[in-house]
Amino acid sequence: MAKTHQYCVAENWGKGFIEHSESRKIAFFGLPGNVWQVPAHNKDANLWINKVLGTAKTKDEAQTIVDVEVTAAQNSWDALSDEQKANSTRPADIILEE
Amino acid sequence: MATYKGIQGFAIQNVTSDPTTVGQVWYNSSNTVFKLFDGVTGNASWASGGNMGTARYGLGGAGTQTSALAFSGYNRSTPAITNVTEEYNGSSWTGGGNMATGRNRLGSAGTQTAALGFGGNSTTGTQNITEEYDGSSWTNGGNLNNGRSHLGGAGTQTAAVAFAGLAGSDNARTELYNGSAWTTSGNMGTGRSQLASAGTQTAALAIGGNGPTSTVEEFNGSSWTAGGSMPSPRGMENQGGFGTQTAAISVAGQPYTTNTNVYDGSSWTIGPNCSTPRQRMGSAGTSSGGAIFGGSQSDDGQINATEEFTGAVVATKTITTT
Repeated sequence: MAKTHQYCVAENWGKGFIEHSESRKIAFFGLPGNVWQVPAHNKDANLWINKVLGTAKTKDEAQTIVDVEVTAAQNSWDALSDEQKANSTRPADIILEE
Repeated sequence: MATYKGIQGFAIQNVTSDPTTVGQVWYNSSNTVFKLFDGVTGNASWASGGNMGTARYGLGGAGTQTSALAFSGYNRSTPAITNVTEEYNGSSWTGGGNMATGRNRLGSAGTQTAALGFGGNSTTGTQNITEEYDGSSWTNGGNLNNGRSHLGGAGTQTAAVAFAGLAGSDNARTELYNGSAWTTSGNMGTGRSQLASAGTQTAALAIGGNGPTSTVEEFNGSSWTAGGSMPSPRGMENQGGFGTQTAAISVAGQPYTTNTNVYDGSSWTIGPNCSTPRQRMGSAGTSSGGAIFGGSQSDDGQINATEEFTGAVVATKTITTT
């Protein structure tokens, strides 16, 4: 099956990290662990990854990074008091798509 | 010679305010010029803004895209409720005066130099405390009659409205602030918490909320009426909101979405997605230029990222001879 997404790790430095001109052309989806999902086989997305000095990751590698962050968040939530839990939801697993 | 009426089948209209039908030509008698509506020349979009110094969620937000204020909130890593205030200039955040009582999930209103923070949860429980910011420091204002957290807020420092929220259970209470004291006003039709809000004291908007619900209500300064329901399925809980009652933005929210919805005073349309899914964020601005900042990612991990929204650009051109 052809890939729909590609993944990279890049730290969001703030202003200029994603420009309006880029977000109009690229569907961004930020994930825990500074993992970014952008369209595969997309010239604009490739240029953006180069701009932000992104480190390319396979879907499985990206999934591992996200899992570490989500598991930590789940453990943190599990340690909350029942009162605190009542006003929040347990972090859900995030399943990345190919 | 061909005439406009001959081509279009009707004459050029004489109007006092500009219509917004793409391709339409008219004579504006107020400006005494012929005009043309050229349609949308720039699509709405999101872009990254400067990162906050203190990552947090459940924070208050006020001001505009280029003059925003972030205050209080919660940082799970510490873990602690923070009283930190930060000021945004459109590109970077700098520290402001800290609140006297740090809170999580508080209500907010006003501008960067005249902000209002009210209610919320502190380390000692649900609060009715109000604090006023003058651009450098916070001072106490009048207390809410009904302390609560997870509430909505709109307006200015001297003309604010607080509505909904959590005080043991979801409530529908509305209170009005005059710069020194809160008084009760008409209850909402649907009690709720964890909603987004926009507008002013006399034209406020309550968007979604826990459930999640797609219910939208409009306030006129004394009573609430039903607005256009949000489209479904969309993020409708713990989302960000900014703008006015007739031009509002609702963005992201639970569960883990980047959705943007645009309200025109009667119905919602789908806008461009933001890049980072988040909930319980701060927000500021208008439908032509807004911002969201902070919030929690993966339900529980606080972030410091800012995103800036630019609304669609529509163009009305004046016709001249050369």
